Amino acid sequence: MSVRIDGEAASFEDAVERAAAVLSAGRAPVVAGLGTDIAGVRAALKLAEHLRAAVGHRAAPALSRDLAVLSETGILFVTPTEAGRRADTVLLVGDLATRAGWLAEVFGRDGAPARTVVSLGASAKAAAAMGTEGAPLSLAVKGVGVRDTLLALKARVGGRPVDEKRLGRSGLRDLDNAAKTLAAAKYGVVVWDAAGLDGLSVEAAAGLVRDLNAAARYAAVPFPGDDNAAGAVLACAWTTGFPPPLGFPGGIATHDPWRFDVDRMVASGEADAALWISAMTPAAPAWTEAPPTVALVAAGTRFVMPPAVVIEVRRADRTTDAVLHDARTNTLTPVAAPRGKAAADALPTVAAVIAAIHLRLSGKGGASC
Amino acid sequence: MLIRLKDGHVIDPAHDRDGIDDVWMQDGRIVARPPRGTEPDAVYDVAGKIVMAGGIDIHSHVAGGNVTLSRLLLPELHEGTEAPPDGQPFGTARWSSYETGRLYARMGFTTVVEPAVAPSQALQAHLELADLPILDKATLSVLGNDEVLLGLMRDKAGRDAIADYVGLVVAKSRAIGVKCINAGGSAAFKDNVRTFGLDDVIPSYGLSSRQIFKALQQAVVDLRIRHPLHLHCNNLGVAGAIDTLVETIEAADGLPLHLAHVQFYAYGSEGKRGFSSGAQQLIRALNLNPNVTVDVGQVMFGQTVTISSDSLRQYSANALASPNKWIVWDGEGNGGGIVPFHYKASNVINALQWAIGLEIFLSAHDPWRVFFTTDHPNGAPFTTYPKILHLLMDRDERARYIAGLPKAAMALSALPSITREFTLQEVAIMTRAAPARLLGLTDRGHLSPGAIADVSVYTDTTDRTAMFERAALVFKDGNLVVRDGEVTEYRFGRAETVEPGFDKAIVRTIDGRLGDLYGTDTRQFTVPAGAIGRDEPFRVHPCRS
Repeated sequence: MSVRIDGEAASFEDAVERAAAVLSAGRAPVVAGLGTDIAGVRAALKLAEHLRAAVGHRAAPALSRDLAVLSETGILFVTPTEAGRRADTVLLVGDLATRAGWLAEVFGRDGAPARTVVSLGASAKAAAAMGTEGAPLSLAVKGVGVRDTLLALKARVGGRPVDEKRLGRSGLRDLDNAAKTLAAAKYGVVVWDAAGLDGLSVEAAAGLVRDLNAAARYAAVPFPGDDNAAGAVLACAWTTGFPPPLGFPGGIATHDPWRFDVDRMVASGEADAALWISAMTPAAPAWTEAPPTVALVAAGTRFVMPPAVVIEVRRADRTTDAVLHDARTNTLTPVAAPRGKAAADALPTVAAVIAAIHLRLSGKGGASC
Repeated sequence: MLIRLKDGHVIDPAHDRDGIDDVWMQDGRIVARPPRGTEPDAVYDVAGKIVMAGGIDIHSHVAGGNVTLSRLLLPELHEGTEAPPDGQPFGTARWSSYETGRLYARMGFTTVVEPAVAPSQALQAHLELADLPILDKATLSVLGNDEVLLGLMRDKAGRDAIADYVGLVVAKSRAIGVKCINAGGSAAFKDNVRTFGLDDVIPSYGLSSRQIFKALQQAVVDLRIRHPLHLHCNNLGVAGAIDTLVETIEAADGLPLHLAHVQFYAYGSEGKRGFSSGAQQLIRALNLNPNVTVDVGQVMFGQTVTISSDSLRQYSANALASPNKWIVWDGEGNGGGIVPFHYKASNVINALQWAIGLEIFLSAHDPWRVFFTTDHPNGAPFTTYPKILHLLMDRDERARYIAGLPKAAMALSALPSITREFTLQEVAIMTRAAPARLLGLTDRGHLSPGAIADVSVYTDTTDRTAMFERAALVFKDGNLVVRDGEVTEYRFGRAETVEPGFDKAIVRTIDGRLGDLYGTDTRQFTVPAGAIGRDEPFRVHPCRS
């Protein structure tokens, strides 16, 4: 059953009409999830501007930590492809267990150069994915978490004193050894996933890269996020000037990570209508109480809170040609769906559904501009 | 629909037209005056107004990875203040693609070239350009630090293989030409080299900057691409860089070469600050080398952000970041850097940079070879063009500026003694006729029958800033898109491209090299038309026959 209104099977036309009614009834609507290809994001932004809706991505908590560092200090980074070819030293920051597949793609290719891996809290799975012989140099200080160890390491790299009592003599020795190993790199990278770190850790990791780069070459390799999060950031930025979370108060594109945090808006009751988009993963919103919601989701999505309208859509990377961010090349890439699968899928794309809702609301095609 | 622009002062230097005349348009093209008695569908009385072809900007960073990084680095510099008019979504969203198109159009510009697209980011750049309304666009593919080219050269693959590779990249990434940015400099930076001159060598390849740029220059000639190699030289912004610039001009050996934003190299090392104008040395070199064209990269005072694929230079400039934050990145080729910068009228060096740019414009003998740019946004945002045109056309306006600038700076430049004032004819050459010719876009930059009907109409007033800030009328492909300096409706132009011929066998070679290097293939820089989301997003122009 690909189209439902209040849990009952419905026609696409009726669902679009109801979706338009739900969204236009909101005084503070949100466009959330945003797990879609570039065409979907472009369409969603046009509709959001029309509705003056807040726009956020499902990966927002992690995204906002990376974006905050980007806009507060800047960053020195390298594409994962070039990192995989060039890095002779890699510092893994945080657990990264869920990123083992990505690490293997980036660093574990056949013919990759010999490299030294330093682990600051990396799981065995992540370390194994690096494809280097032997165990990584592990930087685990008893009783001191990843963040504080990272801060202490950054201090030692910069030749600054640290709290020796807390770190212990062996802890300090390990830190200094690691600092020496890192400084000996010809080309070193620091890898992290902001989903597993707090904001200060991300800032410290980015700062460590800058410090190390003063003498050796260094660059950061942050994981770009799931569900085309990095692609959504790019499309939002060239379309509105800003990354998500963003909104259109008074029709003016505005970036404000607190004000337009769609989860906060929903939890506080501020949001009174929602468009949920998850076309890459069959994921429902985690909201425990939700305003009337229109959900554009991959088939098989199960909901805790039944949305007013559900329209199942094509999986962006599986049954429709799509432009998506590639986590290995760090660029937007065309992904062609297998011809047979695309032809067999009768579901609409996110962009097509949103254009239909937009047309219903404005009487004008959303697609032309 | 037949349109008549009646009794305007038509300035069309490509055909030596400069006088009162009509311009006729039909079905998106300029047409000859129809037989007597033919009634036009629309008549615009433009008596007393200036009529030119639509403006063409050959070098402006308006799209792609680095531009979007600058958006993310500096959200506080582009907060919005007004909502867009109906039917023009995001048109006032500052620093957006949409706003860029709107602001260019209101000045009478109808074509813009994004001059620095990393092949791997070509799709992103074209998507961004697809959301830039009104104007036609074009891109240059950045080569010269990419591991594939360097590998081909190291392995002595030969001139034909290099041309085939360059042709493949240009065709697949939908570019109109080739850009080379600090040839070898970014590759050397990845080897931890921090300065890189014309004859310095990349440690891991043993190739010099000179060898790389000359190989690319030859490839562009061999491929018959009309736009010459577009080169960003070594040592940008360094005192004494005029020597590098002149050596590079001489190294061109008579082959066509375009040098970008030369103001940033026209620096001598004289005076007590070790920084002086090298403008006159540049002019001498240009006069001796008619194969070379340049654009200026004029500086204007105020806050801006420098955006460049010269990662080595941007890293070395990070101490000057204002506000104090910056981005530098490494990639398979050039990478890039974003460093915000504030040009201050009270700063002797900045004031001298401003003077050197104007000195180059006003000392150049041939306006067909010196192009009008600010290297947007590196010298200044493109929205300062009207002010710069005013300065070029009005010596009193220059005197007003000079009076407020540090005397120490003005003493080091010939600018205060220059009395030349640009004519409207010269402005039309620099911003219309010459750019079209340099890009090989024979269908624009002029107003003769057959040209696309991109036409700008300006109110002729002595306040040239006001005149060029808000065109009275702008037609794009014969459609009225601007009236009284305001965009009336969105239309979306195309990306202008070339498809040079190359030996298809090169695809396998390059797939193999990319596979070995990165586990990727030529799809990494292939831009499918269907991915852009607009009808007929590309138009192909012929290469030299």
